[in-house]
Amino acid sequence: MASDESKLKRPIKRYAMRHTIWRRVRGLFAIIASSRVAMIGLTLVGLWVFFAVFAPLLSPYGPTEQDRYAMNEGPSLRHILGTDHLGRDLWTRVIYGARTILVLAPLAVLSALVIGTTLGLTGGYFGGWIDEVVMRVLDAIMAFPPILLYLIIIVALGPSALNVVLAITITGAPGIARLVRSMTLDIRTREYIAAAELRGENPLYIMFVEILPNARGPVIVDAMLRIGYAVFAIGTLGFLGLGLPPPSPDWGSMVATGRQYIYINIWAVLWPSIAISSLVIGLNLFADGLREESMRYQ
Amino acid sequence: MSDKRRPRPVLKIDRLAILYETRKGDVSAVRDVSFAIHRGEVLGLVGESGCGKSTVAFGIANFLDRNGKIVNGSILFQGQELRGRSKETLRHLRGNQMSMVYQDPLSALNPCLRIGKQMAETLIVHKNMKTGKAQAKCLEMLKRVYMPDPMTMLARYPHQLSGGQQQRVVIGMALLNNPALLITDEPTTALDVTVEAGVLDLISDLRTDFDTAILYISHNLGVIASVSDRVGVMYTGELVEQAPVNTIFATPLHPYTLALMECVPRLGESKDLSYLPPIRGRVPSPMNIPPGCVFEPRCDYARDICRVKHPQLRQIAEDHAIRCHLAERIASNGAKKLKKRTPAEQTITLETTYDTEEPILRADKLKTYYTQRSNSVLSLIGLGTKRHVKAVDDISFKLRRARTLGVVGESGCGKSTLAKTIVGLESPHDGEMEFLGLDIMKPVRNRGDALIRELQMIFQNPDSTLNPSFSVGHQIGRPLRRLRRISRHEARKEVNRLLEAVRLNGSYYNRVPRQLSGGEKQRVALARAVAAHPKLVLCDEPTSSLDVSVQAAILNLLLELQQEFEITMVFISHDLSVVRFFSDFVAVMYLGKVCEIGPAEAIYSPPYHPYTEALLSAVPIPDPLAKQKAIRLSGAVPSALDPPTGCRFHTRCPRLIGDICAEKEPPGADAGPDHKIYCHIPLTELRDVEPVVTLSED
Repeated sequence: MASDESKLKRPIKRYAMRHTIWRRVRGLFAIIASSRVAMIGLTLVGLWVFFAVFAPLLSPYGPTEQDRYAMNEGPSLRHILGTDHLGRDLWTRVIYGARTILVLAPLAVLSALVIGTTLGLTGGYFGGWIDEVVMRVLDAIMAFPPILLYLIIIVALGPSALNVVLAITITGAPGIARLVRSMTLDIRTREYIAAAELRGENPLYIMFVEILPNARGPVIVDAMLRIGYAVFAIGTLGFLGLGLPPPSPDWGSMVATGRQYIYINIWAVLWPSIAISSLVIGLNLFADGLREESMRYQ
Repeated sequence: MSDKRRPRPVLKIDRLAILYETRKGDVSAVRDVSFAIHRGEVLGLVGESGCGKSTVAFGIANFLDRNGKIVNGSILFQGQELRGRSKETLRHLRGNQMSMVYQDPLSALNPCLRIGKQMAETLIVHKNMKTGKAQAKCLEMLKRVYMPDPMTMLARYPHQLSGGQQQRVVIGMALLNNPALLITDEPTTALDVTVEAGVLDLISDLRTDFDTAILYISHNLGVIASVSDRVGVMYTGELVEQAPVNTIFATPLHPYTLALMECVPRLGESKDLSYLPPIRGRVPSPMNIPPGCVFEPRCDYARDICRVKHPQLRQIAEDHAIRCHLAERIASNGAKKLKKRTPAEQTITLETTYDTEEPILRADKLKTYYTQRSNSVLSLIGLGTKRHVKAVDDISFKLRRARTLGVVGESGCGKSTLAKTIVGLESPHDGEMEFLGLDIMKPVRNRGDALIRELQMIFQNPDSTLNPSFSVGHQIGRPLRRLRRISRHEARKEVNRLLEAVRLNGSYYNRVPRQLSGGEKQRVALARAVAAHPKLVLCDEPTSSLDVSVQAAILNLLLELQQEFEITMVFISHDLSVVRFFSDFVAVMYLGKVCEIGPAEAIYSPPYHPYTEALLSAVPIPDPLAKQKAIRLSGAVPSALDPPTGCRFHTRCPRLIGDICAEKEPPGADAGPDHKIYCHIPLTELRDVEPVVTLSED
């Protein structure tokens, strides 16, 4: 009898666990689905993700394939969005450009999140001079205009994908750290933190296991917004010539090079610009909708 | 009814029903409430949280949120129907005839305006008075609410006043227009006991002076007993019993009222004499109301008819209305006798010999100061004079194994700081402290695991005592895994055992704190605290924010756990009846010092320290026929930054004997075995004092 019971309990337990994870995912989706704003954002972003993932299937050309006989052409049957000054198909370059951006931007924000959260938790939990030092260093970084900071970092380290991520991390971490710190300062006064201290938990445990999960909400929404800023930042860097080196299909640098031929071919500038703006708008709408809904939920 | 001979009631509610529209559906907060209040009468509306009493008040005053709707019944204010009228008409009808006083005075006052200006505003707007005349009236009103130094008060901002003074201002503002009806929603819950006593006196006086009808809402039976003429008891949105105050306390007939009376610890009893019978079950969720009598699932008298038919409110005697099918039967059986409240003297003899065992916890001249950071330039370089908030100043006590020490005092006396110092969350400044023979003067992060395991704490606020992100099982299991090093599998079994010990069934293992009620959360906190089998548990006001019946259940649980695990406890509270019920020894604190310490019965009977006497005379007793001395303290608690010289209590002491009280700190006089009183008044004089409280005979 006892063994039958225990045999019965285990599968039920696993089912129950999967059930609750699934329920959580569905819950999240329900929040998103109930906000029209978030849905529009999600659609826009989803579209770009689709293009990026299935890029090779969506275009017969390669992103660096040049056609000497079709330079600076407008939209036609052979090139739906036209070509740039080197005869490369714009449609292909735009969707391949989505790939880089949709990998780099979230990556950059993720690393900013990791560093910023750690700094914010440390400053908020320990207080005292540790807090002061950390905050003043971050203040110093925030005092620089972001573009200037990008310039300095990229010029010093050279243009590459990694350095772009680094630049965005350095400019993004202080803001996240501040947010996490203010949440930590509040959560630290709660009695369950005192209970954890009374159990002799070490500070790392208290920060990452007791405090962090309760600071999740606003931090996630902030991170979503930051992905939009990161896309914008990557575009700007590309435009300034500080992004990925050519011939990589970076939207920003596409705008920069296309600018020279703008009087004869606006398409080379138009499509990447629309791409950047639509992706940023989509991300911001999604983040806003999510934030509204989670606020209402509370 | 006697209404025929009396003038028309100021407020007459008839079958009122209010509901809130929420995302999950309509919630009936109030389902059937009827009562009437006449001029000069106080109706006390009593009930636990969620019963709808505040909603009734909001409905009358038209302060319901946008999603609140009155769906049935009528509200007659001075003969005029209030329901269904437009906002303009309501403003005109209510105008200056109805006032409301809330629980938190600080949020009722505008922090940017001076008191005088705010009070005058009421008069200027409603009566079109000139400013000068309005100010004069305000001054007069402040005098009538016994405000010390009214002229200066008029020029102050709300944050410069103490809680009691703020509440007096709010009450004064409410009465400025001489309203016909004053609604007070738990006005004294946020105040200290001695301050509360003063405000209650004030309300009683005002009722006679101004002839106002007062609707007094509270969950505290003692307060209701001291202030009301008639009492209405609410449960889940319905009025279940209504009677004059003496009747309802002497012969309550509704099973809920009976149960409520029995689970309030009275001042005279100790845990060895009686047990607080809690009300079993839970308040039904508003979505899930039983079809028959709402109280039936929790009722000890229930019969079949109660499950099926919903009882109506009916008159069982001239002025006693009750909503119960079995009222006559209960009445004729002599109403299940309230546990006989035997006076304190008659108790068992505790082992009070001083040196039978080594004390498990010992503190000697313990001092915990908070440094106040001064912002002067000198202090930046470290040269400024440091000022300290002397939260705990020179405290000594001994506590033996398996006994309970109760620490009682008002806000600011240092009891929470004392708890935090013992447990290591605050660093003591000076003195000695020993636990199990080990020195515990260091903060918790410097203490070894073995020591930490033996010393745990239960906190005050159930809503923030559990981490909202983790399940109950995980949180109870954590101290097991961390402090007792039990494997995960073993821990699960142990957690289930602990859940059972706190009367929660196994399904609670996977629940998240959000899904639990306040009482349940506190039970989980209890389980978590005793999981590692500590030798000492500190309870920092664990039941202050809980309903009366939930409090009874938690106290019983604490007692059971204490006996089962042989835990020594330090129980901190501001509620003297609870401390009396729960503790073997009691220490009374004032401004960081102990005034009196001794066995519980000795503290609650003469000889008293004058502060203890004042505290006891201020406790609201749920027995309108009990005799209680009315000693009221003047002035406010002095700041702990700059405490008075000599005896700290001398600035407010009603028994001040002379300069010696201001010059010398009182020595501890031995008033009995283990009983010390720190006062200059000779013991012989203190022994001759009459007892503060004499409970009514059955």
